[in-house]
Amino acid sequence: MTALGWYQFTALALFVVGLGGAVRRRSLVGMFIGLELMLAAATLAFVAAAQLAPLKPGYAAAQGQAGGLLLMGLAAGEAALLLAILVVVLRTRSAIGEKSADVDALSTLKG
Amino acid sequence: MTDLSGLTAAHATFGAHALIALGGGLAAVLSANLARALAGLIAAMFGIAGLYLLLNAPFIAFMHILIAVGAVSVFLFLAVMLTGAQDGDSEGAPGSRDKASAFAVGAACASGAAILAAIRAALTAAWRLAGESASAVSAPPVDVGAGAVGKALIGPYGLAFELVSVALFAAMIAAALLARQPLASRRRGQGEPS
Repeated sequence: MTALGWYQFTALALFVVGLGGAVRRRSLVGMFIGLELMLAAATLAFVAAAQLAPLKPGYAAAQGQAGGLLLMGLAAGEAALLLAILVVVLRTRSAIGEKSADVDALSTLKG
Repeated sequence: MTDLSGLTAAHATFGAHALIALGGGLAAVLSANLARALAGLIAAMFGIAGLYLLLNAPFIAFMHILIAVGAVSVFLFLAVMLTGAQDGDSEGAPGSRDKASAFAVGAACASGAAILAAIRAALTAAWRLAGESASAVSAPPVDVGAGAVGKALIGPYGLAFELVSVALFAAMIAAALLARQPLASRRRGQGEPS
């Protein structure tokens, strides 16, 4: 198998692990950890494909690295949003008396 | 499948970093304590950064450490501190239905990975049959440097860059608005019954 194949296999395995975590976890933070793993795996696959491109070495690398940077920025913004949503969830739920971020209990969207 | 005599230091380095990434990922997913899961996530991120270094992309590697470990993990630690690491996760005693569904998800993921691996192997065989040798497919990676990435970001990929800027801006405003003031207390301040 080629080097690109090994990298894509690693990225695929990481993505599967992250997907399993995002599905299996019950808390918001645990689900986000799985999501973060999936995003990192996608970035790894992207950059590896660009760095190990068979045609014209160096031509696609800048595109791939720029795309990887954009993905990382999106992941960071997502983390900030998660923290804000968690604050709101904890605030509304602690008014009821529960203090957990269990997603099974979050079934209503009323503000 | 692999010939051990062809193993080089690059293979060993790749294997070590891939093992760190996958082991960290498994720890991040499987550990019941969320703080330990975060430690696993950080290990996985360092492993991925090592893979980037091996790809001859040091700029991406250090940006990955800076963002994924320095920013996202700190955010997640804050979130864990808000919810509590132990009782924030109710996976201590999963019921039989949860175990069955988790097993089903794992089996589905494994079978999907196996199918993709089979497709990949078939494609590789097809490429070999098409006459391309393995060395031609994997050219040695070139470090283009941060300057080329910056030129790509403000040149041909300016639209994507601006879109990400807009997305980050919207996320920042949404986060500030959400966390600024509790809705209930604002209503109570206006004299509405709650």
